[in-house]
Order: sequence, then structure tokens, then C-alpha cells
Amino acid sequence: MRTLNFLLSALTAVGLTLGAGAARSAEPVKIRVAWVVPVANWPSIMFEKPGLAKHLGKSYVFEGVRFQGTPPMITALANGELEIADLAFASFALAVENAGMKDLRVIADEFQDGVDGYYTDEFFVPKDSPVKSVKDLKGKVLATNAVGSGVDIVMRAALRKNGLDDKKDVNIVEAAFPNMKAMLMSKKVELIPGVIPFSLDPQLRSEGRVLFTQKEVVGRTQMILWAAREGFLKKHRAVMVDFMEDAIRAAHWWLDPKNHKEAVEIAARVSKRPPEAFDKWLFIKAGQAGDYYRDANMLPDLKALQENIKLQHDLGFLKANIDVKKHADLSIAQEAAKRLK
Amino acid sequence: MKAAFIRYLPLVLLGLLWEIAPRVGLVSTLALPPLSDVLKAWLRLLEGGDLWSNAAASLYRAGAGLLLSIVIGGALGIVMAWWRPVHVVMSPLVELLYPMPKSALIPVTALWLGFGDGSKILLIFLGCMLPVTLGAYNGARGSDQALVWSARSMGASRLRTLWDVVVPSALPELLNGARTALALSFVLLVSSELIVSRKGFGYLIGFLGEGGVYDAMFAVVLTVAFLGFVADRIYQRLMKRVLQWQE
Amino acid sequence: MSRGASNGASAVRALLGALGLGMAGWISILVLVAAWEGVARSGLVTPFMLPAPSVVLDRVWTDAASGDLLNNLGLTLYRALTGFAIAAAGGIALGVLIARNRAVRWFFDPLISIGFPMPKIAFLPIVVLWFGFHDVSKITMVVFDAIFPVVTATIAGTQAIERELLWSARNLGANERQLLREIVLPAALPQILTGLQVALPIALIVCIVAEMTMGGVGLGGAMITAARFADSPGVFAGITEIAVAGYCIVKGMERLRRRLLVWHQEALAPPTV
Repeated sequence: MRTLNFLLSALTAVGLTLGAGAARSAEPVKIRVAWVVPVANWPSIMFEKPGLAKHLGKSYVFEGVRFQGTPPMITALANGELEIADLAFASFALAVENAGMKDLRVIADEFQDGVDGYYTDEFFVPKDSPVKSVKDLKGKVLATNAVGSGVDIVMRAALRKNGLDDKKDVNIVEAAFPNMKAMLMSKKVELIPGVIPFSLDPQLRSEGRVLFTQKEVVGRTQMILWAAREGFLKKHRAVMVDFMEDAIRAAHWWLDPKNHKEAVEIAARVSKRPPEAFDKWLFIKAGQAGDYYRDANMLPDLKALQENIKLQHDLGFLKANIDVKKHADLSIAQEAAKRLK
Repeated sequence: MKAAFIRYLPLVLLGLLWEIAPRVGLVSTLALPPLSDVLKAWLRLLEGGDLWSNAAASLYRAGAGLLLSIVIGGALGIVMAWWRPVHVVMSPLVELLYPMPKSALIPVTALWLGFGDGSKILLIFLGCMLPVTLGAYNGARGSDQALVWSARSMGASRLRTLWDVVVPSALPELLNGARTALALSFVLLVSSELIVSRKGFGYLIGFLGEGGVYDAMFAVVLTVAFLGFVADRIYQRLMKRVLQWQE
Repeated sequence: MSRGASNGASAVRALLGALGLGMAGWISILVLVAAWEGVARSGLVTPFMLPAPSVVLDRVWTDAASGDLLNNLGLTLYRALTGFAIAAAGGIALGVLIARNRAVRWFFDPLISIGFPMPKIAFLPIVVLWFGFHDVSKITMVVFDAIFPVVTATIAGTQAIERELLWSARNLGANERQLLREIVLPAALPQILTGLQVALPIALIVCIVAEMTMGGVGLGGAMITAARFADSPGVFAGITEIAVAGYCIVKGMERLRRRLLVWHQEALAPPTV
């Protein structure tokens, strides 16, 4: 009898230990992160250098998913098909306001425009165009990449600042960024927004003239940011800190000038473009000849974000203003950055 | 060998046009790189191994969607022609679906199937159903009444009549519908992968187009077109064989 | 029932009859809408993921009242149907030529095999560069895509004409033009019409996809703008509008087929019930 009792308790003890062990070494959490433009968006490239992601495969599994644009990202977030979206400030605000995703939180920075010493988007007209100031754009055809996008809002803000009605005084058409140079050169449009890498094209810079820059119009912009839903963040906070730690370590590596050459090689491989297309500017701080500002600890500029969203609201693209602080959770990124000190 | 060259000579001519037109400025090289650049990019993609893994993902989805559309769509078309109640119930749904851009249905399919293979296969299946179901339906409706009556009067069951008379007479239209579906499956696999994907030809075309890497993008476009071309030629030969055997 | 009500009922019946739907035909659509309402209310999904039919129909109504619906729908239909008409005329002419002339067949045969499966949307930037941002570029894309099923169906239909028929017609002294008009085209008509029935929805789809890619006005442009603004009712309103408009067009084509083939086997009721 005693032996049986002893055996039973031993078995129970073993069972409990095993059970507890199993619970601790649970399935790694799947983290799906969206991206649109290869290389410019961190998720497309950040873990391509092996060894940077220490927790990859252990506490989490990473999947970069390409999206054609923001709308499907919002749908995917809503359906639970995506954990982290990389959204433009304008899309983030729309997701919170219009899609009713009040539980969406800004968690990290992708890149910012208009930071001193770094690149700001330039808006080009043809070199020989009679347009000398924004006022001269009246009655002309302007190109945008998508109505309501970040650069679109900047362009309309520029028009308004100069007394033009963006809906009545100009004709705005949509085109994909890579096609804009051809549209400008063939005089199909009078103004195009220039974003990296297309704005660094030598032919565009010689055949086009910069009419105004984004910094002149709106100052600093929190262009693209990472957003996730609060429910996921709460449930898997520890795993998220692991993931952000790896992401920030990766960001440090990519941004380090020592690694520039290798970074360019990997970027070329991922994007299928030649290394020469990246060599002079990728992750380099060189004003209008270099890259956007990417925060080394991936912390977004919430103050700039609040102003950008306010502008979006003032222009009529957002039903109601948003209090950015209520929709941000930078604690995870901050905690992860501390680990790397 | 020589016969094959002559038969496919128009493609060579088209290729020459593609090479010359951008170079002489008929088309901006910014939008359409000359064919030689496209072919060079194609070799680079091949070397890099990207084409294979993406091909596998895409062809699996297209194949599954196409197969489902031929089997289910064909059966549905014949049954709708044959039994009025089925026609009454199914035709509004089917006809609502025909003219709908399947990518517009993504907000709906995402609810059930998310953004993985399942939803892409569903979209391809729905899109390819159009020519197959229409062809099967029209073909079955056109069956020779006299043949049907004589089969029935000789005591053949409804099912037997269906199989021996209606299906064979629907076959030419069904087969042509399947040819259209085959071509559409390649077009649809690209469009279904453009919106959200991690792998596939559409995925490649999407991010290469996004980055303005047009020589590589057109290399992938041509790869899809050539795979479709080969599939179409093989299918046409099969179709001829089946129709001959039917006579 | 009062006079007014019974008049109303017969008016509805007449309308349904015109749409080709008996009372029974509505069942599947009603079931679909009921299921939609059920899922939307169940709490399984948020109003963003699946807006309720009442919300969507209300939006369609607002669009109609403001004239937006007519503008967008009209423009899209204009582009799609113009493209379809060009593809139909061109496709049939080309198909007949290919079936009957060896040189033409030699030239176009491989082009069709490679052009049909090609993802032609990749050429949209080129078309825009050549033809601009407005209707012409969209109509071009429609023709580009819709012509293929018409051509292949015409070839198949023309080639399938029984040799005996042609032989006896020639024997009776028919010349080539008579042959074409009175034997070949009518005999090929069922398959040609199937080709047209396939090309028509494709025309609508391609037009909307082109509009979604290029933005601006039209049903596709309106839908993509709604999607960008996370305006879910707008997106679903667009889906509904396309579904209804497309359905009417497909049904219209079906009626046309029945009218044209009134002499054919298929005009008879199906041999079994």
C-alpha cells in the first residue's frame, strides 16, 4: 500500500513537472509583419543578415508578408491575419478612426521625413516648366501615389498654404511611384512627389526641378510606423520584447556605417536591383543625397505624429482628431532597447 | 524542327518588335525595357533560384483552382441545363458572381479563409468557373432533342441519357470553356497574389513593380505567359485528340 | 387585396419577369442576404469587417440620391461596354479570318496562345503613358483582355462546322460570301455567343480592376478610395453595385442569346425535368 502511494505521488510529481515544463516551452508565437516596399520597409530586410535575431525560432517565429498597400493590411489586422502592420501616419489614423480599431497602438518607428541632416521628400516639376511657385500650379495636372496618403496630404497642404483649393484648382491623378518620372518627362503631369529611391534618380534630378520640399511645408513627419493591436501586445508582451530586441539589434547593425557594404549587397539581393542602386545613399546620413532618418532604437516621434494627424484632420481627410498618446505603446520598444545597452 | 520554327515565327517577330520599339523611342524605356534587358534579368532571376520556389507556390494554387473549376463548374453547368430546379436556385448566385472582380471579393473571402493559399485558390476557382460553366451549360442545352428522345424511348435512364447523350454533345463547348479557364488561371493567379502574398509569381511581379525594377518584372510576366503558352499548346493537342475520338 | 396593392404586386411580378427571375429565383438571393445579415449581427465579426446589409443598402441609396452612383456606374459601364463592343466586332472578324485563311492563322495562332494567359495588367503603365489617364486607356485594357475569348470561341465554332454542310452548300452553287453569311456564321453562332457571354463579364471585371489601379472616377476608383479611407460600408456598397449591375448585364446578354438562337435546339425546354 505504502509503495503504491509512493509510486502514485512520484508519478504525479513527474507529471506535474513535465506539464509545467511543457507550458514554459510552449509553441513559439507567430509574428506576421507587413511590408510594401522592399528594403525601405524594415520587415523585408532586417533579419536577412543571419545572427541578428537571437530569439528567432525560440520564443517567436517571424513572417514578413508583402501587401500591395494599406487597405488590405487593415483588413488583415481586423481578421487576426497580421500582428504588426507598417502604416503611414495617415493610414494609422484612418484605421483607428474609420475602421474602429481603437485598440491599435503605435509601437515603433519605420522612418521619419524632414529630420535635420537627413532626407526630406522633394516635389518636382519639369526643368523648363513655367511653374516657378506653388501658386503657378493652378489649373495643372498633378500626380499623387494615392489619394489620402502621406505625401498626398503634404501636397494638398502645400496647395492650401498657397491659397489653392486642392479639389477645384488642380487636377490630381494617381500613378505608381516608379512611373512618375516618365509621366513628368513626357509632360503628362506637371508635378510629382519624389520619395526615396525614385527621387535620387540622376535623370530625374537633371531633368526636373525641385519646387518645394516636404520639410518646408509640414516640418518633421512620422512617415511610416509600426502598429499592433493591444490585445496581442498584452497577451504576448514578453515575446514582443524579445522580438523588438532583435529588431532593434538589427537596426543598429544596418545603420552602422561599418556594415554599409554588406548592407548594400543584401539589399541588392532582396530587391533584385544592382548594388549601385543603393551604394550612395542606403542608410547614409547625407542630407538630400542620403536616406531618411531611421531611429536606431526604433522610437517614433509622437509629437510630430500628432501634428501630422492634426493636419490630416484639418484637410478634411479624417473625421475626428486622435490623441496619439492614447494610441501608442512605446514601452515594449523602450524595454527592448534597455536590454541592448 | 523546321516546321516548329515556322509555326512559332510570329513570336520571334513579336520579340523583335519588343526589342526595337523601346530602343527607337516608340515606347519609353522607363515603362518597357527592351527585350534583351528583360532576358538578362530573367537569367539573373533564374540563377538566384527565385523563380523555382515561387513557381511551385503559384502553380500549385492555379492548378488546384483550375481543377476545381473544371470539375465543379463543368458539372454545375450540365446539371443546370438538365434540371430546372437547380438552374432556378443556382443561376442567380452564379450570374451575380461572373462579373465581379474577384480581387474585390477579398474583404469577403478574407473573413473565412484569411490571406493564405485557400483564399487565392478560391478566387482562381471562382474566376475560372465562368467560361467552364457557361460552356457546359450552353453545350448541354444544345444537345440534339431527337437523340435524347430516342435514348429515353429505348429505356435509358435519365442518368444514362445524361452521360451518353448530353455530356458528349456538351463536350466541344465545355472543352473550349476549359481552354479559356486554363488561360484565365494564369491571369488570375497573378492578380490574386498581387494584393497579399509571401510567395508566388504575383508576389514577384508586385514587389518588382513597386520598386520600378521593370526588366525583372517583365521577365516574370513573360515566364507566366510562356508557361501558359505551353499549357495551351498541350491542351489544344489533347482537345483535338478527345474530339476526334468522340467522332 | 385592394386595387392598388394588387396592381403593385403585378408590377413587381412584371419587373421580376423582366429580370428573368420567377418568384423562385429570388430565393437564393434572399437566403444569401439573410445569411449576410445573420453573420453581421452575430458578433463574430466587427462592423468594419462585415457591415450589415442595412448599412450597405443605405449607403447605396445615399450614393444614388447624390447622383454619385449614376456618375460612377455610368462611366464604368460606358468604358466596359465600349471595350466589349470593339472586342466583339474585332474578335469575331479576326476569328473568322483565322479559321478560314491559312496565312492569318499562321500569324495569330501563337500570338493568341501566349497573349491569352499573359497577365496583361502589367502593361497598364505603358497604356497610360500612351493613352493618358481617362477613358481611352481603360477601354484599351478592356479590349486587350476581352478579345481573346471571343476569338477562340469564334475559331472553335467556325472550324466545327460540318464539312458535309459546306460541301453540299458549295455544290448547290453558293459563293464564298453567301457561304459565310448563310451557313458559316449561323452555324457558328452558338459558340460565338458563348464567347461573347464569357467576354462580357471579363470586360466589366477588367474595367473595374483598371479603375482600381488608376484611381479617379468610376466604380473601381470609388471602391479603392473607400478602401483607402477604411470606409467599409463604401467598399461593400461598391461590391453590391457591381454585383447588381453585372447581373443585369449578364442576364441581358442571356436574353439576347435566346432571341438570336430562337431557331436552335437549345431554345426548347430541357429534355428532362
